[in-house]
Amino acid sequence: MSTNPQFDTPAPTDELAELRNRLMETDLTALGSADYRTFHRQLKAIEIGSELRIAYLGNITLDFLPPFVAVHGAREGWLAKAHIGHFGQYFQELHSQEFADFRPEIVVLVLSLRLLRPDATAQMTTLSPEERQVLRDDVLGEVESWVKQALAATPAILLVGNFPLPATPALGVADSAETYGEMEFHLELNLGLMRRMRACSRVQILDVNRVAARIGYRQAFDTRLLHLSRMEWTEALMAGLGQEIVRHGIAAKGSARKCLALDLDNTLWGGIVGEDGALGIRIGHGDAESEAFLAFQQRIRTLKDRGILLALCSKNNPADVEEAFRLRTEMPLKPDDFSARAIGWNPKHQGLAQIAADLNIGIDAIAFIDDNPAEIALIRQKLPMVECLLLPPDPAAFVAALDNLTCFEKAVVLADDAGKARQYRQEAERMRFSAGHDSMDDYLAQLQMEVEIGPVEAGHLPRVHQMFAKTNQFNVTTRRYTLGELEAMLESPDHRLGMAALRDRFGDLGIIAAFILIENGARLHIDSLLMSCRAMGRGVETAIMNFIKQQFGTQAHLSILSAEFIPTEKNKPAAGYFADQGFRPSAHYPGLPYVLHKKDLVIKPCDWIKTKGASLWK
Amino acid sequence: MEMTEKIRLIVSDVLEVDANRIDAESHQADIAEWDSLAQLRLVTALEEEFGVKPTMREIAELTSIPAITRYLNISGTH
Repeated sequence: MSTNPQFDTPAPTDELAELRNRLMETDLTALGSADYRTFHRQLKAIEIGSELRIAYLGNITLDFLPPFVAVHGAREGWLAKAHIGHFGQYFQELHSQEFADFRPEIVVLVLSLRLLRPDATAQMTTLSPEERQVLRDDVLGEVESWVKQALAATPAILLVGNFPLPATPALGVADSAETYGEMEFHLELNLGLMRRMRACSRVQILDVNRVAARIGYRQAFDTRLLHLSRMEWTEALMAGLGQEIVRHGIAAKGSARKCLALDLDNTLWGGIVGEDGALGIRIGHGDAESEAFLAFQQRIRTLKDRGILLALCSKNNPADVEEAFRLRTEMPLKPDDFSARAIGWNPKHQGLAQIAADLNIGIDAIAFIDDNPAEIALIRQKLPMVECLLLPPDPAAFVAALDNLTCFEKAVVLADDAGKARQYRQEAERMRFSAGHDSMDDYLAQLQMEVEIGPVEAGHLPRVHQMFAKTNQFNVTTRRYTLGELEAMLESPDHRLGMAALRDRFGDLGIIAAFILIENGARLHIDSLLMSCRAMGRGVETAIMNFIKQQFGTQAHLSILSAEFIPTEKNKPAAGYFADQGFRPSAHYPGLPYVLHKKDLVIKPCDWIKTKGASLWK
Repeated sequence: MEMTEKIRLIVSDVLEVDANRIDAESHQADIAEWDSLAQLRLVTALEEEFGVKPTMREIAELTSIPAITRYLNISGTH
């Protein structure tokens, strides 16, 4: 894999991998502080691994938080490193050498409103509605100006903490009758923060209030600690925030799992379809258990809309399962919602391997849910890289158990995500379509492909970043650029960011490829070029290279096109790419990149794709 | 396990200092790692282990192994 200035290559040590496996079998939300101390001590003994560098800034003592983040991070295979800013100096810290040398990937800002505006918050009820609105805008303005400076100072993701609501307003129940009362002030403060931060692509809200509410304010805050140290967070709150920060880390790194594989009997419905029959299984309205399974299916369906592929891995007769889906139309999940199925009597680790192969994803991109401890134990033993969730005994607790999984976090849900299951279904139609054709050329021509290639605009960045984070197979250098780095490249005069979108007779595949060209005098270098696996095997990569060659040809000041290939365990499909496109290996540059002189430019035919190009040079 | 021994191990665990550096008579002043922030983490650990909830005044006095032992013998539900 490549070296990357921001997100280091995962190279977990055996100790970290072993600790991670133990953490993956543990429900971290059930741990006490002694357990956290034990895990953290073991973690501190591990020195090498994939890092997650987090800087903590704020006006309260944040020293206790990093160990909790570290334990939750280790569950994802990361060694979380912390830089804690000097108390109260969250502006100055951004410009310090220490901060710059730390190169944070995530910067957390947490402010206590009480310490930020002590006088105003102490006499909230004596303020007029107008004064409270001024206070709100004043606080939001301060956070916003910090965010502006932070965005300029670091390419890191910024996590801005919001403000916990008062558990009891000073005026009691009369507060809601008050014009712009205390609760309204606090609600608007958090709402305003959320809305203002949404406008910045690299900024996310660390929802301290929601995490505290989930735990319960009484368990989350301790007034003894407040008066003794001005820091009222309990360890229960810090454990909750540790998980929340790691959720943001997964989203920022784009390391969410791609597929949720599900058991059927007593997982998606109550009972055993092979014994109780399609009409006997419990799902839908009527009794409590059926309602609970209905709620669970509804929750799983939202994952599909988030772009997570669903798959079935169940020991059943396929005909019984067909019948259950056909007769029980009240089920929210439909056969079409599942992009892959392994239904039969093979052991489930084989089923999961088959699902991974069918979807063309890594087995480490799968999470698996089952109600049977023996099946979960088997998968943990045979496939430790799979995230396993053993369902609790009561179906009422299924949704909460699913929500507790951190592995499906994304920074944004893209329009593309909701259609992902449809795209994989169209892929299956394409496979059947291809089987009906004698030759590959004939098949490709019949696909009626249209590819649109042009510059990346700011609005495309989330999807482009997602591809940089996730594409493993057709990826010539596997450089995992952060959103901040990609943003900076858009502004740089030497960098050209390009992308390609594809559609065919079966539908729109959306943005499926991205590349980065860097000008260096007379040389144009292909720093990155990657293509989603759903566009592989159709010659699209040739259409893209032809476009790059044409663009290169139009620029009189450029005479050499260069490229490099960095082999990884997964990018074999891209290994022969440059040679295939007419590049020659060159000894002139370190790392043996491929070169193509302008005089040797040849466009490789790919008549079966209609290309529409927009110039990368404005 | 005897109470004092149990406390000694918790103090060592929370402060991340070798248990050999702490004895039945150890005082906050003897151990550099036992600063005011560590004191609060120590109290949290004692609360979890012994099911107690000291007041602010009591927390301020829990600054030695004998003091903690005395406090827990009076209030602890162990």
